Amino acid sequence: MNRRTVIKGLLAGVAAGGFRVPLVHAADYAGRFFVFVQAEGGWDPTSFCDPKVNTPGEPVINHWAEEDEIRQAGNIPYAPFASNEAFFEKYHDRMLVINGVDAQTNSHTIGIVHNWSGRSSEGYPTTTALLAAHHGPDLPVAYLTFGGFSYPSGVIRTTRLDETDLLQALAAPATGPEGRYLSDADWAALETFAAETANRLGESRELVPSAVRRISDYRSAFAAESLKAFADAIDNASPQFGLRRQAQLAVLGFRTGVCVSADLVQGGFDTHSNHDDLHAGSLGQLTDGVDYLWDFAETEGVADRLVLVMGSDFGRTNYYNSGDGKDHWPIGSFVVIEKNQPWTDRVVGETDEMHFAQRVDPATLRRDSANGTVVHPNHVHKALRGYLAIHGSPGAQRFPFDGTEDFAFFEEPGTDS
Amino acid sequence: MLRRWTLAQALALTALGIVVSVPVWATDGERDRAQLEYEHQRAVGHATMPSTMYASNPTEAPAPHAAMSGRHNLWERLVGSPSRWPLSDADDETASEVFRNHISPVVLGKCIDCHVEGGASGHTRLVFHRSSEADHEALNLGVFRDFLDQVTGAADLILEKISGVGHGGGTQVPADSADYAHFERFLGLLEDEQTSVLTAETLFDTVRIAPPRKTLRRATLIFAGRVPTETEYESIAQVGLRGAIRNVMEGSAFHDFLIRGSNDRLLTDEVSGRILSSGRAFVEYTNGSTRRCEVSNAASGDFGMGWENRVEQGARKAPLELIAHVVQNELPYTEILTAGYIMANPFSAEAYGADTEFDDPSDFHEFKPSRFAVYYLDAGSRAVDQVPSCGVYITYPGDLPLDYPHAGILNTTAFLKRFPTTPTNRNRARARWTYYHFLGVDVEQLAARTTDPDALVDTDNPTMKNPACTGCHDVLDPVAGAFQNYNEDGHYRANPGGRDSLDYYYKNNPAGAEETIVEAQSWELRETVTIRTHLDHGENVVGLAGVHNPYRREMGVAGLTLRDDAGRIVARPRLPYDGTNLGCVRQWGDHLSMQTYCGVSVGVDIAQEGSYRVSVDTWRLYSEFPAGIKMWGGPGFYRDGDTWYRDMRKPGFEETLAPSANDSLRWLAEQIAADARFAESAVKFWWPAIMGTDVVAPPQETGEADYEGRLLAARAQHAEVARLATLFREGIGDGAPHNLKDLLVEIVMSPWFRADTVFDDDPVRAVALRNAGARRLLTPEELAAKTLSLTGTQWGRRAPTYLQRYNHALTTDYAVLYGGIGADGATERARDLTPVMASVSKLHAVRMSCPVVLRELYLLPADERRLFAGIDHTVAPTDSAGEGAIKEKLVELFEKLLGVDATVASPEIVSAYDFFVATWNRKKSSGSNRFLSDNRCEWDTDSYYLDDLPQGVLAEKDLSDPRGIARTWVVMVAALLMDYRYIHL
Repeated sequence: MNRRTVIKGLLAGVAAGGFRVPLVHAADYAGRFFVFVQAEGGWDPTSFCDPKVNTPGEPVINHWAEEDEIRQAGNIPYAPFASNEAFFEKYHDRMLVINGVDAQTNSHTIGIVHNWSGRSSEGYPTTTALLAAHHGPDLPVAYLTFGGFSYPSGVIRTTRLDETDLLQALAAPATGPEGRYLSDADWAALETFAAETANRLGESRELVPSAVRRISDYRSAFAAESLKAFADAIDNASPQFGLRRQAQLAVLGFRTGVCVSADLVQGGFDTHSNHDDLHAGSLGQLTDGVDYLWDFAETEGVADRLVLVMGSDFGRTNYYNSGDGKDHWPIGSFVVIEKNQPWTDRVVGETDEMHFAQRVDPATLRRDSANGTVVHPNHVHKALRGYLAIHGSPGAQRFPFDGTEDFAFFEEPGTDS
Repeated sequence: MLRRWTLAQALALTALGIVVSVPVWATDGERDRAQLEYEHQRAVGHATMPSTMYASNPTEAPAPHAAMSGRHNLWERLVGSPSRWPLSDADDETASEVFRNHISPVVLGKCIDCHVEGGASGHTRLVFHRSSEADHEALNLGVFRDFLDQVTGAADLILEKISGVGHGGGTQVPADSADYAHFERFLGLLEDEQTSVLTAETLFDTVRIAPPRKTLRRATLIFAGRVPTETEYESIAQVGLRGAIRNVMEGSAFHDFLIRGSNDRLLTDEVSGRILSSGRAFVEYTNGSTRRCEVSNAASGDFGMGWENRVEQGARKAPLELIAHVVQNELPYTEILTAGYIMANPFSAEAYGADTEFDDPSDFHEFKPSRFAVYYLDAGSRAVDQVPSCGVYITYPGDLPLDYPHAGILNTTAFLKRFPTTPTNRNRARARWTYYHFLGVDVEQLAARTTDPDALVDTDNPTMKNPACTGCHDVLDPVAGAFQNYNEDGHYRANPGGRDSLDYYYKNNPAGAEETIVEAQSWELRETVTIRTHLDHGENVVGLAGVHNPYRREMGVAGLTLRDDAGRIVARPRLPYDGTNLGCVRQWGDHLSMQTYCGVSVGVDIAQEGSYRVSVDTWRLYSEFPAGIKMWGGPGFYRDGDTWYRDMRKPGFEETLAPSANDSLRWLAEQIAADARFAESAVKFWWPAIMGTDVVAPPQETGEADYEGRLLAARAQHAEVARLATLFREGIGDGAPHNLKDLLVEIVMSPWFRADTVFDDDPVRAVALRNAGARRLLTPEELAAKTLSLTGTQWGRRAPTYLQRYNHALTTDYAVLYGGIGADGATERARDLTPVMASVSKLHAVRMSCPVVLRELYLLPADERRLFAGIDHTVAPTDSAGEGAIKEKLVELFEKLLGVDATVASPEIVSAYDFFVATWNRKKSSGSNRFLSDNRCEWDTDSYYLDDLPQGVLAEKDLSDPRGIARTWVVMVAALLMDYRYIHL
């Protein structure tokens, strides 16, 4: 076997991250869409989906608990804080809460990497990236991001949108609002010429790996399908702001077939002082943005295909500091929302009254202090990969969770795992 | 046979103390140094070739790691630099050497008779090249390499064949002959080379380095935003490649590179909100703003907010401009931290009260070293006049002027605002990023984190005592302390009296304080508030603060007393009233008042540890307003005169304490500048600006994908960073230590930048070289500058603003869409081309091609054309010399725009010509005779498009294009502007 031949093939696959020129039309995609909402800064699950009241003899864990009690929507307890009531009442029946997820860190950098890639050290892609690479490698904005942690690790490329007004121009470079810059025939010839040139360059022997990858990127990026439908959809939608705007662009990307996954980000959760006021504001914006996302997805006809995951860097301390703030705490939560699923309206994973993670049986998900396992982000991501059927994808196989236990988060309650 | 070691095996053996034999070249530091010095001596024209050196290429002395790369010498490109060849020691002979001296004559004398294309053995896997072919030696060596690569037991098979065993050609080299021994030795060496352990030292052994001309072009695009002139290319022969690269580091484009590269790391341009705040320390800023507001009128933009915006820009750019100033003036790079000045534009200089002289006092992009000349601490004695609708005018700034202890970047207001402190963060973010940017240490990666939240349930000062925290905080907190004098706005000792910048909670509302409602509504009705507390032997603090006082009403205090458990008075500390009414305690009639939100702490010496009672008489000064008092006591609280937290490590740098609180940051800057890690951090800081990627971090776990290759890349880059850092620290060539220009040249000379092609296919090497060669996408700024330099026009160019010196489509509207930073929180460049980014480059090509052709073929005088000299829009393919002229022009355009060295016969010129003809065939039948008739030509988005053209030229010129040639060139230029090679480095 000629080793050079083997390696060139390897390079093309590895270095280029498996890109290929489009083989199918974006509109052909009939699968699910994925949104990961990152609460940046470290949210406080005890004031959200893992509510805690104060324990006599212990420091105050929540001021709201001095005057109020834990509420429950369906089977899901929540804190009477910020806009939680409306949110949980509306979404509990399509919601899975995973509490007691130990990020094993109080560092933002590591917490973010751990919670969104499933591994505490950098190098693994986000699950959002793996989903985009598997379901939409050829789509123009397969993986949409808005500034959070969106490390693709070479399996796909991320797209960041800011000036959406310019998408119309980008969708049709040869034309503008006041006329044509090049004829259709010229433009078609240009695109063909550019592609042929790039193909020829890519055939060169002895390219350094970075050139192989860049040429591959160029070929697939230049050959991608038009953004026209996406741009038209944005033009026709009344603009939103903040997290709502991110949600709006993601949904329009899904509906117009240019996008399959997106990372949304809402900041303001690193509340080292004046925790309650600041956190309530950020949490309110977070739930408002997610609520808008679902409503808009419904309007646009993609809600039934949507999977949403919410999480954060980690949690916040089980006491207030001298500035009435809360510092970093490694225990956090994930919230997964999807319509019409048997695993919803449930809380899995456990913490005690002072928000310490408890060991649970991975199969039954019941507390098992003797033989159970503390839930870590890699357990969540491994379960997501399995549930979303990408565990066998080339990307997931390159970045495996070997030796990581399987948690039955998405098993229908009562079924054998 | 040499055993084939995997990298992991080699690493394991090394770890066990077993030395693995690895062919190594050019690793001798002294030799590298000599080569560098020689190169620099050549550059200044008085070099003497060292006797030990071997430079076959007059344009480039052998440099560290650089394999020689004569453009037409395949032999050297294949087998590497002559500097790798042993000079005398036969034990070090290489396969290449044996081949050239002994094997090649046999091949050409015997084997070639049959093993040649068309020969009797032309169908076999050993087909050689005749001596009439250029580079036949290298090619034939390659035949042997490939044969060994592809065939199991290849060496033994060859030896059998040449000695006649199973060989159709019979015995050619008898087994007992000297030639047979040469073959045996040659094949053994070749096999050894091909199975040798891959290490950081041998990683680039199979990489060809880009030739000097190509390297200079890429470096000039980075440092000067343009392609080199022919004179600059020719200068390589005189001053060497290093000298030629260094010579392009001049002017505004190099300045832009420095600003951009610095901001990509520091992100001080991206600070949200305003940098400077008026009304406090900067008296001239406050007064200048108010004065302009008073006299402002709608006709002038230089007053009021316009002036403030220009000041703001001066303050915002200060850290970046300091780096640019130091580098451009070739000052020691350490001065970016130790500078006793701040860079200011004319407007910020005025706001600082500095009398700096500027070349153009109206140019808000001109920066000069300045000082905070009029900077006042809050003495409480300031006098102001209120100016309606405009603010205040400070008539008397008080009597606490500050000789500001400038510490380079570290205490520029922009840097301090970029990393603000908070009551709980306490300068740790400033410390973290100081370590990261200037010592190359990521503190967050220093220690394993706790896996047990129990370890964090610790309110007993965990950063000092808890092992789960001290790993990082031991390092971080002393440096945080060195920033002790700067508050969240970056102001020096901003608290009343200019005493400190400690936060309110620590000073006035500490954890453990007890709170009491004060009922007494007058001094006559005063009440005594008492708390019980535990005091240690030695120094302790008792403190009190007014709370729950609406409208900031003061309250009366008197008679602070400390009693032991038996009720005996231990001390009656004097409340800290200094007679000036500057502090928290002031005179109020016959008694003292305490300012609200202004605590009082007093030190007390305790002879015996134990329980004590602290009491104070207090009353409301405004009877109708409720009031409360907080009191505390103990060893760990703030006391009057402190400038740093007592519950944190003392200000310092690692093991050394800062000698003075007043200028601890300047002291820190000097410590960092003297630290060996500073040089390494400089390499890491500038590496991404050139390479487009950060220095590679090693993989964390052995099971990761591509572990071996990634580990190898990390080790090799670490070694390269260390090597460059040593050179930088000691001075490169005959240059001074810490000269950043020299360092930038060396980074470009690194094989990580110059790797051009690779001629082996080791999978580990392929992964390790994933970023080698820096084949990166041009940034939006680089693409815009390149197009301007080549064509004289720019997409969407507008007049500079105080915010943007260069204001065009790629750095404004499309900046983030094309992977840039600076808007919507985008703080990291997107380096991988996405479809959206590809669309931006298409748009750039389409929008630019027509204006470029319009200028070149119609508007510019013939001798001023940049791209289309010597041809006009009448030359068609069907003309007698038309094809030749158009192809020659294509060759020229490919060289200028794409850096491609082609001839009229090159396949891609032929292909481009075919594209041209096909386009022309469409154009000539379009029916229009006018250049601007068919499609839009957006020349007017460039506000400066006509500036270098004769007045009225556009209206006066005949824009006819009867044969459609000019319009064909528009499409051709668009094709070139969207070519892979145009938009990549």
